Amino acid sequence: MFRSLERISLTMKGLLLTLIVGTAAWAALDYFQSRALEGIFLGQLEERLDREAQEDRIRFDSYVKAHHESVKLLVAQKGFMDYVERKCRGWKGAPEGVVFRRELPEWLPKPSVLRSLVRIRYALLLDGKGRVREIYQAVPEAPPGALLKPTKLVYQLSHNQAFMTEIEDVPFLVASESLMEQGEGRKRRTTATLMLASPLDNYFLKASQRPYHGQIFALTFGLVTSPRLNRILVSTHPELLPPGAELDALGKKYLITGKSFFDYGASDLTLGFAAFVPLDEVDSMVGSIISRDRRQRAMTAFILISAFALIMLVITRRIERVAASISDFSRQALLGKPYEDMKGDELHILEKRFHRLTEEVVSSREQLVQSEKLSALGRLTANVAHEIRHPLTSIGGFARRLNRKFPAETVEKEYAEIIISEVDNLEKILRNVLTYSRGTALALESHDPDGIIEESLKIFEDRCLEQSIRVSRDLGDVPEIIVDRIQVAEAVKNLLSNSIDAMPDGGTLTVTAKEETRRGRRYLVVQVADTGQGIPADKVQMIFEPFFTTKILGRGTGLGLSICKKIVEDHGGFIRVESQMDEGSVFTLYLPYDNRGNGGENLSRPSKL
Amino acid sequence: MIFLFLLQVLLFLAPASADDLLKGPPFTDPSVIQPMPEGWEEQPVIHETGSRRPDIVVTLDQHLYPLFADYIRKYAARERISIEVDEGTCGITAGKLARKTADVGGYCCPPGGADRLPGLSFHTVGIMPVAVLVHPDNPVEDLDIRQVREIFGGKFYRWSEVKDLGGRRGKNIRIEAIGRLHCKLRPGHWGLLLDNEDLFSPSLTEVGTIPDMISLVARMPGAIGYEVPLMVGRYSKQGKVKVISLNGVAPGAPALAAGRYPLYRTLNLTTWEGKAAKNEKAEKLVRQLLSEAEHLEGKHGFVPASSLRRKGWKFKGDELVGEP
Repeated sequence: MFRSLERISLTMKGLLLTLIVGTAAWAALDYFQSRALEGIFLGQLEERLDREAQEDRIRFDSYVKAHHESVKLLVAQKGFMDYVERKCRGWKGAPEGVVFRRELPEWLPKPSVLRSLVRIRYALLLDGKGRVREIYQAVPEAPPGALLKPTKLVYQLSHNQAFMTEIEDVPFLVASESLMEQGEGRKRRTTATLMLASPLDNYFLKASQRPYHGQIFALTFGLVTSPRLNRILVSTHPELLPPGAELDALGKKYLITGKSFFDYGASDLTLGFAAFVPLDEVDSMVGSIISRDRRQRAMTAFILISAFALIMLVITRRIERVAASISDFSRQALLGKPYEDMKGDELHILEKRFHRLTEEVVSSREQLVQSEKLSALGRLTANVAHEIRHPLTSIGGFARRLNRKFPAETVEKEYAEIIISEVDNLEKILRNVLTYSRGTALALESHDPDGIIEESLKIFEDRCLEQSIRVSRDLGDVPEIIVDRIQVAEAVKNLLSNSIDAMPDGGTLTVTAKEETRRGRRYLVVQVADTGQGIPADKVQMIFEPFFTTKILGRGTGLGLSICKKIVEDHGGFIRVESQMDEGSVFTLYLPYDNRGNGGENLSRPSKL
Repeated sequence: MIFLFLLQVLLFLAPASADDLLKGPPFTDPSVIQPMPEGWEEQPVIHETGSRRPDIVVTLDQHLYPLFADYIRKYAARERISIEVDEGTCGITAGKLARKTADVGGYCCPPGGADRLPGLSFHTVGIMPVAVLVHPDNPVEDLDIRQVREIFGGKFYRWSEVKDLGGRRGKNIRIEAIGRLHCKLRPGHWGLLLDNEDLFSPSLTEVGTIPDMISLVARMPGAIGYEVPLMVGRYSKQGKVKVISLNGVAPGAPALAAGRYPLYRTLNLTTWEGKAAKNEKAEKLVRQLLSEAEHLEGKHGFVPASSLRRKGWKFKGDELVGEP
């Protein structure tokens, strides 16, 4: 599990972590914030509804009171008084009888005036004895019979105030005012009375709010009545709140607010007022607010996660670039091996590369110290070799002259030949030492790699025949390369010589040449493989060290592979070896086609020893 | 015999005459000019535009403004003159003209007696129908003008009481008549429905603005109101209303021009005559607007003055003064 996680990129890991933490935080926040929002909203809604209900109640209250104010105004108008005066005499002694009018009677003012007063449903004109003489009905329905003979109590209680009462089981509002005889004193008689009566129905309720009732949150108002203020008497929306509906039951579907009694001083009904808001509407409003809040939160989270992912991506790219720089530095400056594919995220790879870099730096420093020592030793060796070479040439020359003078098959001649052979051997060693220790200047020219290899192989044809070694070539069609022909041929010869030496009892020598691209760079790859005894694993690392040899004493100088490595590196390339005991070894030279990267330097760089 | 003939003629004319009694006069007498204090006519027009110095000040009522405001601005740019255009109502126009602070006034009604100021000329742009509106759920599609007058007069309490609804039955819901009794001193407009406010029902709900009219009709299932189609469209956000036909005639330009649709409002522009207040640039503008109005024919039922002349409507100068 953790290993799998290590392989995931840093960006993905950051993204996953953010998503997991974000989702958990989101869920927790959503839970608490949604509830907090709901609480705040419901609190504010209830407060607002309460205020709305209060305003509606005040309007209703004013409308109720406007009835007795209106009736006073109507009685005080000249048209009413003139009419009553005209009719008064006729009413005396006339039999009881009521005139019903649908048209506006002349004892009421013009419609334009009436519109500014309350909405009249029934206006009753009573004579001085309290008998109803005329009725104006603004509605087609006739007034209830009981209203045609109002009781003394209704008559009294409806004076100077609006009186709420039940007439034939219908709740009514009644307001009346009397016209008194002219003159002064308490004993003035009533000449006529005007009585306004309106059933307390939904039209009355709507008219009280006219015309803009229920605008906010689809408020629904209900008048609730006796005995315990628990039933709807009338509502502005009877289709939703039908008369008779119980408040307890409605409480399950509606938010009920602004409940209050009415107190007008005269009412034989227990009436109250309440505002209703459908709970599903409230839920929908709350849901809408919460969902809007959620959308905003989601948007914020998306932006934050995207920003975080972007930042992570930038950081990861920077880390990758730093890791790549370390790799390049290691390869180019410290001549380290190419980094194998490292597993893990970018940070992990950076860590590994950094550790390896520190190791390489330490190793390089040690190598540098060693190199400096060897360099000094090399210079000394070169000087010594140079100094020895002249006397050795003299010894060799004199030994050859003596050899020619000595008769054959004599001990002296045999000794002379031994001296000549040893001097040749010493000269060869000195030549190699000088080659290895001197700074070399490469004579770069374009050459056919096959030609160099074939030329080198030709030298070893006889030895191969002698040692029963089969030579296999796979040179293909390799493009020309700019190299120092002599140097590269020397390197190839060294490899061939080593491989032949490794197969004293015969075998197969395979030489291949091909073009290969590694890490974006084109190389000439020359491979020399033998089927010899192989190199022990513990010695493979040391074979490129100068004077290290696995051959028997006197058969090698120990400088062949060192020189080979030096030549290849002077060309900006590198050398690799793979070996299995009793199976053989494979040496591979990598010479870059484009060696400008370090070739220029190598042309004049002094060789390391 | 003669008596019988006269009786028949009277009987034939009786309903129409009774109906006409309810309808107010469509226009006032153009020869009656409102008397003003001495020297008033010699006063120049003084713009109340602060530091701005426009060449023309135009004040248009809310019907003319949407029709002409853009055109006037383009005209000003084309002519490279400065024109200030304000939106208002007939009352605001009348006030500015009475104070002589505007060169051009725009009315959505024929001039009332108090509007005919000395030196002021009226130029009729055209007329547009006043549509009768009901709630979209009301099954009523058509009423005759007599029924509309009875409904607004309060004769009917419920829609079900209104007979002859073109084969449809009215709903058993209370009629809520909505009225906007504006410009009471000017003839025409709602006065063509019922002459004066006392002919409207005591239970009429009065509103003060056009959006309120649209809004209430759209909200009350039993509502009936009236407004020009131009404004129904302009304030459609207030709610959906249904335009019904009158006497089987929809409120459109051809029927209106032919005198077959009875309710309309008259759109007038004014210019000043006389040396003191005359503004030639304003006169040129009004000529252009009258010409532009020709292109508006049929839009929202609008009928331009030229078409009215062809259909026999009576003009005095540029002003529409009588029905065909």
